[in-house]
Amino acid sequence: MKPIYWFVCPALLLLLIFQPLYGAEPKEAKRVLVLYSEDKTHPAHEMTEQGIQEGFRSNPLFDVQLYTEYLDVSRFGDPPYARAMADLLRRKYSGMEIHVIITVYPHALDLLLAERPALFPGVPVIAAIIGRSNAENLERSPARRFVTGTILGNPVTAVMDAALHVRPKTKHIALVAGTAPNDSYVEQGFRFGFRAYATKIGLIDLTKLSMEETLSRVGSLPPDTFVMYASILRDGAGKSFVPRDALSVIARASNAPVFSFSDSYLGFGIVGGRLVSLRKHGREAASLALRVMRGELPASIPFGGEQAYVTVYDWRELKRWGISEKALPPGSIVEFKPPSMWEQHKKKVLGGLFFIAIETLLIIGLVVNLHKRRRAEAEIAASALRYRTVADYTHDWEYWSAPDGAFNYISPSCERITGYSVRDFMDDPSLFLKIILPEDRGTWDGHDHDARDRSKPQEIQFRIRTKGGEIRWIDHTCLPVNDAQGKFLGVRASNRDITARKKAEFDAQQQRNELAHVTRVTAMGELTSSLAHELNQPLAAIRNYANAAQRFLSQSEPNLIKAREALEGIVRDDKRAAEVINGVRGLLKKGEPRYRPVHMNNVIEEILAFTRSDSLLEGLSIETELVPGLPIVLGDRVQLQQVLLNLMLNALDAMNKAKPDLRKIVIKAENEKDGGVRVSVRDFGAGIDETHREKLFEPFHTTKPGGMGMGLAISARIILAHGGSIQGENNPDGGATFYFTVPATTESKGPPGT
Amino acid sequence: MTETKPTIFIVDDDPSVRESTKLMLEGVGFNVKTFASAQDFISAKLQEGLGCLILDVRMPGISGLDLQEKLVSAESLLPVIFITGHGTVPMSVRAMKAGAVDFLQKPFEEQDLLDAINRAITQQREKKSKKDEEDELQQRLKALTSREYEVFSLLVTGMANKEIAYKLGTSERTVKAHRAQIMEKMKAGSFADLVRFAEKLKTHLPDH
Repeated sequence: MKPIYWFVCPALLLLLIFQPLYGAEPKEAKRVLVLYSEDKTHPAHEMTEQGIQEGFRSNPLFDVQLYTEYLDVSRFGDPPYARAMADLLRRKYSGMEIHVIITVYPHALDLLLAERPALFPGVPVIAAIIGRSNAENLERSPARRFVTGTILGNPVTAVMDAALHVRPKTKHIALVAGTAPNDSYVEQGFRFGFRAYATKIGLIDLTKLSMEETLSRVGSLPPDTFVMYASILRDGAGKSFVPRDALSVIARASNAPVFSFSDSYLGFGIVGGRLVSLRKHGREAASLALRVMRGELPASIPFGGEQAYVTVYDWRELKRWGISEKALPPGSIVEFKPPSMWEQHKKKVLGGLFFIAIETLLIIGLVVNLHKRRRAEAEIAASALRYRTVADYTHDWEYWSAPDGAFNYISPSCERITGYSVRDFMDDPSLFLKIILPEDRGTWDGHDHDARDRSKPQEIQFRIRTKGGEIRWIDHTCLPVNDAQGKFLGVRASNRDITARKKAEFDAQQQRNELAHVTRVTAMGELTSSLAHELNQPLAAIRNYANAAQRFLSQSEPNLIKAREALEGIVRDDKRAAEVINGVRGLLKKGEPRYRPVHMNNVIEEILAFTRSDSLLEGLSIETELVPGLPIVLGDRVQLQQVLLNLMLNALDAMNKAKPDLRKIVIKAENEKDGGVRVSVRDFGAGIDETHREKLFEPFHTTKPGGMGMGLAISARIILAHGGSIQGENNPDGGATFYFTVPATTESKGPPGT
Repeated sequence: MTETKPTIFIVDDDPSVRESTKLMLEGVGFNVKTFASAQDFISAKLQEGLGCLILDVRMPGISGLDLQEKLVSAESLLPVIFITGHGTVPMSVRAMKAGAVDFLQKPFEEQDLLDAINRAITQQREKKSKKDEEDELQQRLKALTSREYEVFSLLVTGMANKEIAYKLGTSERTVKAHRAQIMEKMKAGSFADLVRFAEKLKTHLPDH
């Protein structure tokens, strides 16, 4: 319902409520007595009465109360009756004041005037529908003081003109009238009116005949004749009729069109014409009465009624007599036209059409609305489908959690990743936290999942246990959702299963460690003689000391001093053997690098001690220039030694064709510019072949016949992992120098002398 | 060669091995001298006497094998016993070919080392007496005239006097005279002695 109706309806209701107040506005009560000449069934009275009532109804000043009497003087017109009637009226209305009397037809006026002043003395009279002669008589009478009225005038001329208009060839007029006083009165009027046409048209006198005779006469009228019906209240045989009923019978029997003067006859057989409108007379009479009520004197009000005509025709009669509607005077009203479906049901049709139109509009509106809504719904549905499809088909496990922790959305991928369905998570939002491995709960709790004003996504990685008990790695990225007004709407998160990636990373690390181990073992294999030597040296010493001690003690005079010396040697070299074994174990051990603060000089000295007397390095002179007090670096001792070993073995290989006195390696450890340690291994060999220079540190690149090509590649990887760099270059005076840097720890520099 | 008590020289870069061996051998009663490197040993320019050299194979600078080569080329009679932390077959073959007494793997048994030392000293003594005898024969050989040397060379091949005479274009008598002179100068009691001497001198005989 549109808003305007909400306003109009109460307004209408208010009007209805307050209407009685309008009606309660004081109106002066006026009692009007209407005296009709004929009896109540007289049809013309009925029309006049309607006019009177209409005339009074529209008046805003007076509350008019109508009293109506039918004097029936046509049928009971003798003087005793008139006196009795007057007496009756006097008695009847003695208890009340009558303000105006309206008489209809001259007879009622005559009766009233005859009984005055005993009857209603001083009460003004409106004499409706009287003849001109009546009016003229009144003008000469003292009664004119309190009487005015409407004059019927001479309707004959109007009727004749109208009849001749549609029947111009008319030669005869048949005048039909009864014997009652009113019949005669009308008949006289006609006869008077006919005189103007008497030269052209003959008069067939059908007055005062019995009904039977009248009917037979009108049925056999000559051509070019029409019937003029005056009135039959009583026929020539003394039989009473209702004039229009009589007219109906006559008109049916007539072989010529029937005309009359009053619109009260229309519809009962007359063709029509300019007819006296008794209704208009009634309305005018009421109007005059109101003027009198307002205080005008009747004497000062001229008689009216001049305009009380109406030009009207009966369609049926026009049809019957073949009169074209086009032949009627302009402005004519044609009645009794069989109403077309349209006319007959105009209101219903219009109403129906209106409602149909309204309904159609409503339906169209609704349909359009519905269509729009459907389209919008379809668009929304399509849009929702699009987004849902995008979301549902994402490989990752997406969700949107509401501020209260419940899930607004979870993508079906969750089942693929976790084994739990969307419903499982929806039903129990805490399930998410439950499947995170307890070891990784710290990671989850440590990230700012529910931060409302975070603009950058947060990313964490943790493990979950799936429904099937499997462990999976999840990469979780989350971002708060805020609407345009900045209202927090929860958290959007994307969970990616990175188990495969993690495994690949782990495998790659494993492989790297494995490879590093293999190359280390390979290098160690190359140095087995060194290993054996390094172990056998202390073992030999120990055995020698032991033998010596035995001998010193078993002498006749045991040499305790020498024996003690021997035993001290045993202890010393036993320790040394243990150190060698530990060193070897460390070099051969597989495993993840362990970064510890180390003194680079110690690292170098250890590997030198280990490789000192290896057969491979035989004849090789190793010089060291280790700057004291170098910064402590964070590094894996074994890995750094592996790098050194690789560089030394490479240096050795580079020099295997060199003269023995040139087979020398210089190992330097010094401060790096930016606070780290720089270690260089210099040889005096053939130098780096320029064609290999770029590929020096690439895996499986080798110039050695039996080499794997992993030494420098692994060395480079190790140094990179330490945050340092490794390079090799040729010396200006021959040979090559490989050097690497390792950044210092943030801790203090190492003590001097290390 | 006047010392009766042999001296043991130890050259090893490893101080533990060096000192422990020294202590052990001193306990047995040897004179022991130690050197940290081959160069140190060479620089000491020792007079050769009774004893032996205990030498580490692998050392920085001049290795044990290199030192051995130097000694051999210098016709040193000092026997060499190699000790090594991790010996290889080619290494030991090279050492033994060059006349090493033994090639011991560290750690070694005390007895093995002492046996090797004894063998070395015995060997050294034998070598020394053989060398002394050769030196004597050489001296005798030098006393021969060139004609006598010619006859000597042919005699020891088993030729008869007549054949020698024919070959040299002289008389059998002359050959007999030379022979007697040769027997005299070479201090040979019999022809068999002469042949033995010739054997011993074989390598030193000048080519014809």
